[in-house]
Amino acid sequence: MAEVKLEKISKVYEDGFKAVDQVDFIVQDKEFVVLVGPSGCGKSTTLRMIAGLEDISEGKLYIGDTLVNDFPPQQRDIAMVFQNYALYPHMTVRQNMAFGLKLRRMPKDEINARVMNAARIIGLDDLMNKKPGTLSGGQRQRVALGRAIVRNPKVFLFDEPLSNLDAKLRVNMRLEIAKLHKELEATIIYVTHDQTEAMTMADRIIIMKDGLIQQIDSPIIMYNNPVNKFVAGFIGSPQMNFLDGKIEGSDFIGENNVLKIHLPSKYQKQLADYAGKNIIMGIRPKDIKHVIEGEIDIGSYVAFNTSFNGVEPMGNETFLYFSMGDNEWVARVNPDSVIVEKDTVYLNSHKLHFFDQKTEISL
Amino acid sequence: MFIYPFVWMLSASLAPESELATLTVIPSEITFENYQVLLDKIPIGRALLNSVIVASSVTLGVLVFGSMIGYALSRLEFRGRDTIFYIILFTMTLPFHITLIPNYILMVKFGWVDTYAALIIPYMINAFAIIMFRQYFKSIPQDLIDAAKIDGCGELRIIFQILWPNSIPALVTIGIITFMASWNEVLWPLIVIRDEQLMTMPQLVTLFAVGGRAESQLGVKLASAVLLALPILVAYMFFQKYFIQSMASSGLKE
Repeated sequence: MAEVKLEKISKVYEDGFKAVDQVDFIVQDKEFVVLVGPSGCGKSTTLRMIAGLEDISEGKLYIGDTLVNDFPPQQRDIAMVFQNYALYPHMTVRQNMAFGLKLRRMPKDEINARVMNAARIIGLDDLMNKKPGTLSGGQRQRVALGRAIVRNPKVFLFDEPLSNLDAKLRVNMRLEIAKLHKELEATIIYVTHDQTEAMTMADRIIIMKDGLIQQIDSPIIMYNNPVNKFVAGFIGSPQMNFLDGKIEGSDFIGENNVLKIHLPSKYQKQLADYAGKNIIMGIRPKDIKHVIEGEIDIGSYVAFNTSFNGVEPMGNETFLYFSMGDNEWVARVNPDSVIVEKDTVYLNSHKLHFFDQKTEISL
Repeated sequence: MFIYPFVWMLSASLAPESELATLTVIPSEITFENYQVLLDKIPIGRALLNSVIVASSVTLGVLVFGSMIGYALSRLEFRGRDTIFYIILFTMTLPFHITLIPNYILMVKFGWVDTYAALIIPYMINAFAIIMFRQYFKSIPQDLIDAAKIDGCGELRIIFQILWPNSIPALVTIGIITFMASWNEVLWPLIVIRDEQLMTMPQLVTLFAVGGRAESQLGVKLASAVLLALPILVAYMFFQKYFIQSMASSGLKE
């Protein structure tokens, strides 16, 4: 295993399009790093540059201590798991797993031992002589994992490996990949557009947009302290609610006076320079309550009368949709509360986020 | 209806010469006399061997080079790739007869007249095969090729160990079409081969049947025609499944 270091890596295509812009980060040895972002943000391109499947336009890439910019994929000692599995259809599971080792002229006994060991780890013992075409999606992805494991590479690369699986299987595989990471003590770089996968598996998340890194942090820090509105909106499900407005005295006033919140003193200090200026306020759905009886800090809630546009009972929680000015907001509330069409919700005024309206940077 | 001429050809070639005029399908007696005459008059066995050598070599060459060029045109990134593709496409529109004389002059300059080289080498690369392979390879997911690269395959190994086993319908279709075209080719061998020992079957049969050496014996002519058609018929029946499947699925897309 080894660390992976990217120094100001860029990818510029022939037509001048900059897919990845000066990306700079280090993945520590044995770390599980998730690259996340909306489609077209450059995360897959970054991964493919690490794999050697795309040329690096600028910058330096180190795997371990070696500069690998000009190394072809097979010399980088990496293994990759693809979204659509990319198994060789004409080979059995065993042959699929052994193929890379054969090409490296490994002795037969060693190949067999490794393949059997990997098959045991991912529970494929019974399927070794089947062709990929006869396997289910989940089994195929396991074989793809197995093919990566037998190589015992310095770095594992995952390119949206769970996107083609159904929801239930995805949860299972998520757990298995996390388990695998512990068991193999592997360095893993994992690309996904799904923030849930990022939150649940990553030691650290790297969030990208338009080829630029937005923030690198652990999932919890990223959730609690997003650096900008984009990160705040991307991480967390359902996503954060936003409202444009301005600071007047010690109050936040939503646009068109739709909402007025008296700010706790911590925010007043923080926003002292923004008096009279336009800002964006954000609040997570979990910080909006429907019933506040029994809450300890009942005084910090701000009431808002509304009528609900939609109610989604999920069983363990209920989502309430309502309009806040021009914005659709959502609250994540206790499923036991009785919902009537016109009702009051309560916003926790201690759990607000503020962003500059122009730069969208967190304040 | 469709099969009647074949049946008649076969049965007539086995019938005595005197019964041919009646066009009957079932001859009164079966005789191999026509074949015997044929074998005595021309080196048809040798011609069969020549045809097999030529058609096989040409087919192999077309498959190997066609897939290599098709792969380069579909998967490798280089300047002028599309221009090259369009030039290759353009050559398909040129009738064979336009290049016939320049090609012949080339053969003379190379000293290849009356050698296998003249029959084989000019046919080893074929625009149709290149285009078919390009289109077929485009339908194979890039991830499969990427996975092979990461596993340690070079480009040639990708073509022959990863793409070929997954392109059987394309290989069979192109193989059959090339083999048949090469097998049936008459004009080019007539021009570059004069030595009877090097003649391909269609060439020899044509010279024999049309050139007058059959001495107007229809039965013998028919016997030579049967021998000419037989290998292709057998091959077609054997590969029919693939042939129809790939004709249906791998036609030119885009």
